[in-house]
Amino acid sequence: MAISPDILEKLREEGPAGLDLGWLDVDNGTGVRLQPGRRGLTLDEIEIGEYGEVPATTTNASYKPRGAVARPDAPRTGLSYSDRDDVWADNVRLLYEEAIQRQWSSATDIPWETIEPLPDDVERAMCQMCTFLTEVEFIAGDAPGQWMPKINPEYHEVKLFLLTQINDEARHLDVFRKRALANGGGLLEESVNGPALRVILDAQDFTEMSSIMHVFAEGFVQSLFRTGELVAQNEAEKRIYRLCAQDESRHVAFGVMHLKHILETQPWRREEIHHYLDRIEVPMVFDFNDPPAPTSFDEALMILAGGGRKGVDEGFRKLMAIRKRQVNEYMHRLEVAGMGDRRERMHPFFRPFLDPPRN
Amino acid sequence: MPEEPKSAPPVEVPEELAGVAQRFDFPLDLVRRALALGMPPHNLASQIMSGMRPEVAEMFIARQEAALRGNPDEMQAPPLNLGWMQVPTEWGVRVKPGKKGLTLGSLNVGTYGDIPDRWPHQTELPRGAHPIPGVPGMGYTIYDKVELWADNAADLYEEGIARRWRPATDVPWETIELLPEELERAMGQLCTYFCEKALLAGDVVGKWLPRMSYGYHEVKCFLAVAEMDVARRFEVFRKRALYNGGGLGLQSPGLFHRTILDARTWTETSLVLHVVSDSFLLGLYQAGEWFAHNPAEKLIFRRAAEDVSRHVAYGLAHLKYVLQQQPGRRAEVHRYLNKSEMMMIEEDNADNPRREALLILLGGGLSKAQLGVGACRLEGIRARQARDYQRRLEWAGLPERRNLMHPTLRRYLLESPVAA
Repeated sequence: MAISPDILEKLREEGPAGLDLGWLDVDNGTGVRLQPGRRGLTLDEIEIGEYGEVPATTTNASYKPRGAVARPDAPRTGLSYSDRDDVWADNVRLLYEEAIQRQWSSATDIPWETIEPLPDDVERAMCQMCTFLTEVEFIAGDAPGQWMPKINPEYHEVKLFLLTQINDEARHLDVFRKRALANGGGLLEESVNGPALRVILDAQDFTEMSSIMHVFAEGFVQSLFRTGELVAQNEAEKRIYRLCAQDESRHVAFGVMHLKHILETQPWRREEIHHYLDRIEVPMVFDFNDPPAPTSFDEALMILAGGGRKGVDEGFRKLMAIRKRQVNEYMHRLEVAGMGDRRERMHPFFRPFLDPPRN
Repeated sequence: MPEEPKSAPPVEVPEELAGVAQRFDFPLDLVRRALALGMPPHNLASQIMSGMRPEVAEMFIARQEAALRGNPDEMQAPPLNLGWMQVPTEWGVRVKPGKKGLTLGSLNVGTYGDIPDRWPHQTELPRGAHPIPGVPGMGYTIYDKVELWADNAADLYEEGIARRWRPATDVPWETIELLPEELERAMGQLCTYFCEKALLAGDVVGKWLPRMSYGYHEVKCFLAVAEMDVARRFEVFRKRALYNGGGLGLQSPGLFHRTILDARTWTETSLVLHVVSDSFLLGLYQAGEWFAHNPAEKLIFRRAAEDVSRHVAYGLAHLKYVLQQQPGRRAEVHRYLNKSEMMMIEEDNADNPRREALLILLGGGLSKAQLGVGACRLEGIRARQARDYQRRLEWAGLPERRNLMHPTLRRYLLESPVAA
């Protein structure tokens, strides 16, 4: 039932001093009572009517939430992307809700008691790998943070998803540090490759950042985590890799669908995106001026996969198999996104690992 | 299986590249093999001109060709360096889970717990790891512990993780029944305000995170969890506003938003966001649990209050640390608080919809009598907010704020107990 204007007028005259109640004159409701679905009351359930219409472009330059009534005197709060297509991904609501559902605690959800003393070389290799991972994981926390103010509140789903990613990456930083210090080891050497990922922070465009970070870098890490069985030495480590892979899957999924959206809505940006991928693929190749020795991370992985230093040849073969998987899964993601032409343009270091195209 | 290298005619070497190779005594055969692997000519020229050694290139090219052939017998591990195994970091650390599990704070043993006053590394070097010379900087701007530290950061991080909740499924949404129109609108108006505050907090913390160097990962981790908290708050209050079909209300005046955004240091930002803004927001959430109409709203306000209380706790602990380490900054802190309190009050005065929504919710309706009751209760809430704020500042080491607080807040403070 609408609120009677007469009652409001009477209250303004006789009620507590300074009453206006003008906001009650504005009927901004949908008139529809919502119902939780089978996954509870998710964003998909609530974003109906005008609230669910994600505008293709917006002039909102304040913190007005989508669907709220604007105030003419609200100050601007900085520039942000005003076009939905620049930041959107069709799966973003689902990914946000999944992130909220699938939170986990490194303190209590990892069976730390299953870690038993390992041979020294294996423990050192595990600690080196954890040193690398605790080092680089939070680039993917800092980078979304950097972009938060640039996402317009009209596209809050993207903001919400990135906020969950920041949380995920903190958990990864945390869990790998914990593993390094849980079994009689410690942290080891800083990574040579880690700073190459600075290109993620150098990005000047959201799609640039997402292509490089979500599709390439996190894609490679996710593929690595999914092969955790090859390197995990106990249930704790298996659980760590499994949970981290689960988190990374969401980030990769966002990146792939955002890239797909961009290519569908802004097809003229294809060459631009190839350029971004050129930039990230190149730093990941070691410098010709240095001896082409594997990085500390690669060496550690070889030792873990080979069961110790003595098995390093077997470990190397498994490392090559992991690389192959990483490169092929990367290519597959690009194909899903609509960038199958990347196959011919991928960096020569990666191309030998590519399987022939499926068709 | 990787593609087999085709038996193709020798790769043609562009004239310019051939010239470069000749000038730098680089074997043409290696050039052809690199081009056959797909290396762009300009890249190769650049590498040759920057002094790439032929024997180094040979090793790389041979490995690539072997990978292309996919012959496992050729896949032998290259010579390993393994220097990383012997770096002089602390070894033999075995942290065991305690009664709260394996917590971040419990890792701070030995050198891993040495938290320096100034972090000397521009890279992502994890605290306790061994640095490599020549690694490029990451562009952080906060290297001094005093600029962001709080002794409770690690514990708050773990608490934030442990107390996770899921608005979609943990809130008993079905307990929300239809409310009278004015109550529903008032709730929608209040939820709109809460959504804005959450959006703002997410952006502000996100902006500062990449500036914080890696030596203080406890703070970065806590702030990351705080980001999850604000996402949840935006989500749950938007869901509540839309649940009964009432919708969102008017946006807020936004004056105080700018005060938070305009902060120039992290300390100033935290002061305004966590100590002032979140402190008063906490009071509203606590009030919300009181006037909630159903179990769903009670839970929403309770969980929101729990989440934001961690942010307040961080802000206060950081302020306390700053005042202990840099007592000379006391006057500066008061200036920030002067400005924040003034802008917050100005915003409150300008935000009629929020104030009136609270009158309606606290009074239970729109009648003159109910609004009168609501007005009294709102005064009570404001008094509690101001007193809680003052108590928190006292804890943080700022008891004199009692006498410097904005008059609108100061009038609510109780007289200090008289010393016996």
